[in-house]
Amino acid sequence: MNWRSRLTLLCILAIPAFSGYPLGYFQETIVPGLTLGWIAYALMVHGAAFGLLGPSSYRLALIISLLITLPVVLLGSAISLIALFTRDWTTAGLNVIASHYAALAVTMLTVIPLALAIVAAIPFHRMENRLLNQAGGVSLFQKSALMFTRVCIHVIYFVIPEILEVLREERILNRIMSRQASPGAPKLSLQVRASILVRNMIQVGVEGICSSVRHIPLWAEEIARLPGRESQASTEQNHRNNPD
Amino acid sequence: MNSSLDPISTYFNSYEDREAAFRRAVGFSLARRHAGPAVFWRDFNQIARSETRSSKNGSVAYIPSNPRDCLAFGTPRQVLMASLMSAANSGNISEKHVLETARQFEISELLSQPIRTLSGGETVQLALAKTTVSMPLFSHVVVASPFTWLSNTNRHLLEHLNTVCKRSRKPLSIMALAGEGDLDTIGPSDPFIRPSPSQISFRLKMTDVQIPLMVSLHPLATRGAYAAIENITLDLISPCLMVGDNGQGKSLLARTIAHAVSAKGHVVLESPHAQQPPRLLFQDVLSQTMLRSFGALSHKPPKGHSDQIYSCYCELQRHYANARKQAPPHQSVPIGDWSDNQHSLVDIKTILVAARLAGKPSALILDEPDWGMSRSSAVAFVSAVIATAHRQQTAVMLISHKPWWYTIAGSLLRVTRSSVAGDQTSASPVFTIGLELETNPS
Repeated sequence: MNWRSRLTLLCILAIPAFSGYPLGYFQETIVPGLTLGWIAYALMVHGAAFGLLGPSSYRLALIISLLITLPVVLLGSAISLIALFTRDWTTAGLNVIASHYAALAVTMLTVIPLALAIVAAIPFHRMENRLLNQAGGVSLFQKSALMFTRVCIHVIYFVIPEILEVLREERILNRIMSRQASPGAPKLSLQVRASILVRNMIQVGVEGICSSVRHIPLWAEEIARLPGRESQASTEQNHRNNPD
Repeated sequence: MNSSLDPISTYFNSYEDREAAFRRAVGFSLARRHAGPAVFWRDFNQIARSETRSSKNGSVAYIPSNPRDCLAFGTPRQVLMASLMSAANSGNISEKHVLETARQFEISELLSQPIRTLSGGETVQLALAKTTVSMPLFSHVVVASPFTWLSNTNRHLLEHLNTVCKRSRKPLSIMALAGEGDLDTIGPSDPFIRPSPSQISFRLKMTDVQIPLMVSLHPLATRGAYAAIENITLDLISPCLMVGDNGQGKSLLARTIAHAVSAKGHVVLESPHAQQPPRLLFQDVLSQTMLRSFGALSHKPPKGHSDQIYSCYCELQRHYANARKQAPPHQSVPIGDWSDNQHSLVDIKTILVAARLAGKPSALILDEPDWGMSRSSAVAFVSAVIATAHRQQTAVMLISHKPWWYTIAGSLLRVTRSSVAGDQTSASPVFTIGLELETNPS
């Protein structure tokens, strides 16, 4: 399957997430907050992402989705529970919070892998190559497109792999999953492990943003320096006027 | 040492001094990463506000201490194409021009490879090629610490840039760290103290190791492509030195041993702490500061409370200070206090090593440990790391293309990369990394 077919298929698959159609017809609740429609849709998205991206890219997309979803859901539900506890603790209120965050988790774990699969299906490198191989200069629109592809390529093939390498080397996941910080050290409570997770997620987020934007001034300068269509035309005109 | 380059080289004793001088010469470069988010955003804001990058003396072509930071595009072909287009102010650049430039700088085989996957030396080669072809656009050229990355066999490329600069009457200045370009092995005048115990034996076993390249080499390789590492079982003595020219796969090997990249197969390191995984300090350690909250680390632990990281930091600091006494102190910078508000690069490296040694890993791997350090600082730092690691029975592996470390190496491993010809679209190795135990010439 070529990239155009893959992209088309993934874009069609994204329609229910944006429009709600036909998910609204399958409102049967499986557990509070989760409908049959959303669960079936989530399974379909993950099946398609696995088939179209392959196991290693799918795993990467899943890890990124989990890293984004978990802190949002855990922190959000914790804050809501604290608010509920301090104001008016009722079982009904608890049910509302539980169903809201269960729905949010499933939505995020469906939409984020789908968005990542769409981004992965676009051949940014080929686009960048084509934009740079313009006989007769690079137009302003092409320069803007070049900047856009540059940012995408940098984030996908530079920022994320680099962060993952650091996380792997630090064995962050093992540290959060294991009960001890190191052999012989006192056991870590769930609360401590949750705080390690949240702290690391914030640091990863800050690093991700800093690394993503860091080279923008350099790219802007280098892309702006590429010969535009007008400068190309004027250079040729000068050559015609002054052949020597 | 570098006869024709010496008159244009300025040497600094610390990373911070060199960076400050480089920033002054270039006008600005990139937002600093090592000084924390506040400094990063201040720099970024300042850069974003500047309309054009220029110093007092006109526009500057620059190669920063991390050469990747001057390459704006994804592959060497794109970098060279864009530079040739800008220099000629024409969109009609033929592939022939790109190939010719690549051939001159010995990067013909790397044109389609993503820059992220190039080795440090290869990245400098590309940056030198880019600077050479962009010469008409700039009034002078500034290069920071090229000797850290370029192996001895590739130094002639820097000489070539110097020749081109002279021919076009554009000054070239090199800002390096003291002793960075030396080729002598560590001798009695260097601040190295033999550790006690001086040697620790360990075994490295690699079986059927395959590193998938799909993510890192996307445009080059399709699904299923991988790099392979030859099956080996080696009995080694710490400190073990892994050597090899630029682009042989030293860093990829280090990341595989430390499980920093996802790889299939078995990598086993049998050492006194075999149950703990090996740890790695990257060449450009700044990316590893991501998960270290320096503010939190810098608080002294309360009295009576033992903190492994703090203890390791103090031990490293003590060994480093002892080693420094063996050489003129002005050639190296001291390790700062744990509770300093502003950490230098040496402090950052020490904190990162302390955080790794605190977990008593089976091995500690230092990838190009001299990055960002003068020769004296680097030798004293490695001396301190080996002493601290050996005291707790942790093996040390050094990765370097510099001959400095031969005299201290217990074992010497040569890393070589062999390209595998054939169809890169099928599931076959794109290249194979081989390891060979060598007799130490020292």
